[in-house]
Amino acid sequence: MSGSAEAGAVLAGPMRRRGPRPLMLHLAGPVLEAMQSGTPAVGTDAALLAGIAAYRRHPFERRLVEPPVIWREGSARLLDYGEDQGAPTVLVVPSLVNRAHVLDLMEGRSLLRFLAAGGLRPLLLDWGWPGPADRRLGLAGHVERVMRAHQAANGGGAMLGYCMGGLLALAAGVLAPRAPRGLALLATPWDFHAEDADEARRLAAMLPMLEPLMALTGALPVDVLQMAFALPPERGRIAAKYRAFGAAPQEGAAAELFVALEDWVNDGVPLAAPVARECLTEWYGGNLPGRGEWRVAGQAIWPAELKLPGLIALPAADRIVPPGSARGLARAWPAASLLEPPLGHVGMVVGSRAPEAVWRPLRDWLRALPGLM
Amino acid sequence: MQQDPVANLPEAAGAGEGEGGGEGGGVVGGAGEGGDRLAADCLTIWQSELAALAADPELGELRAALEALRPDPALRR
Repeated sequence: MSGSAEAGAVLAGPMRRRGPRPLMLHLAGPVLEAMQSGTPAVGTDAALLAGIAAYRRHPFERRLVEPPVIWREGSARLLDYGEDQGAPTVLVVPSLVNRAHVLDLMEGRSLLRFLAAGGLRPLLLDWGWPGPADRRLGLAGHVERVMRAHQAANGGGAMLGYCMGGLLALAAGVLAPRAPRGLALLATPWDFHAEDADEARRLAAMLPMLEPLMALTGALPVDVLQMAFALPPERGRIAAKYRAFGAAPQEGAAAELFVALEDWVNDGVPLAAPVARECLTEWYGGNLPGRGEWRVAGQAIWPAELKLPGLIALPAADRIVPPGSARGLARAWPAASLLEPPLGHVGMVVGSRAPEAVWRPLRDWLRALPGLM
Repeated sequence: MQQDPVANLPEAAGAGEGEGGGEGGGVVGGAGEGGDRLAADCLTIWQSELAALAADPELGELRAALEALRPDPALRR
């Protein structure tokens, strides 16, 4: 597309995408907050609307070719990013509440392709859109799935978990009959009460209100999850970034990165109801991991007992998994190496400073694992 | 557990924290060319939202689940 045609498409073309979600929350949020605070007048937020319109009209499309699928179970698939089938495998376990492709976002912003170019064979466990059978699985069922994927990956490689996937990978590392060669945990929560225990308990207290909704489809809907991440003050930050996007040049790499990331954020997946219940009660409400009382399939998940090399990457500017929560994991696993990049939760995997601050140290740590290469 | 990536990614489109005006920034009265553009954007955003909702697989699941429920005659009023 030529520059002028692209500019025209951005200004007046069809709207191609959805977001921010839920739209009503983002548009009506300021009005509700003004009513709550007694502020008399709230006008139309033209800059926010312009930003949302610009995002929805943007012509960017993610064009990365998906690698081969080497294993399936339910809706989950194991994607083989390896350039060399004989290279040592790294099973990569992402979160259950977002699409897996944040680890392979776009050209030049792909942790997985970087690791593959570094002589490793990343195998991404893409959880997919949960079907009826997937929605019956709790945390133990998902951990067992990670273990079977580890087995499908020859059972001899390393494991890497990101965010909530770090907890699943950690439990699989404890329970797997054949332990991984090493376990890297990126932005993984552990001590859910480390920074704001009351907020965590308030989140857990929402469960009874969510039950009727989950009873309908067996899952926590995407927009409910999105709402949880868009509550104040986060909603204000989301609005600010859309306003900034609407006022910024619509061509070029920065605009494409914004669109790619927002597409990923707004393309969520429902969370299986049994997992939602366990996360809210055992993690946010009871803080069982942080208290050393978390059990999966009856077995205690206590990282200090792991007899394998570990790496914990703890992004210092993380607002999704508070650094204090992830630091609890470092305390619980003192033998693990610690990496503290000055980045945010997603910036640590796709930001411009991620290659230097996270990707290279991670690759070098994996390559140095005894018996892996 | 995970969202809002660009908030943690200040280099993206100048979209870092503190940029782009505060809450309620960009308030307009709705008149003139700017108002026309605003009205057109607003209408198109909602049209695209409705089209997205119609194609939303999750809403399809919810609709099917609701249709499978037996209505309680006592609740009809």
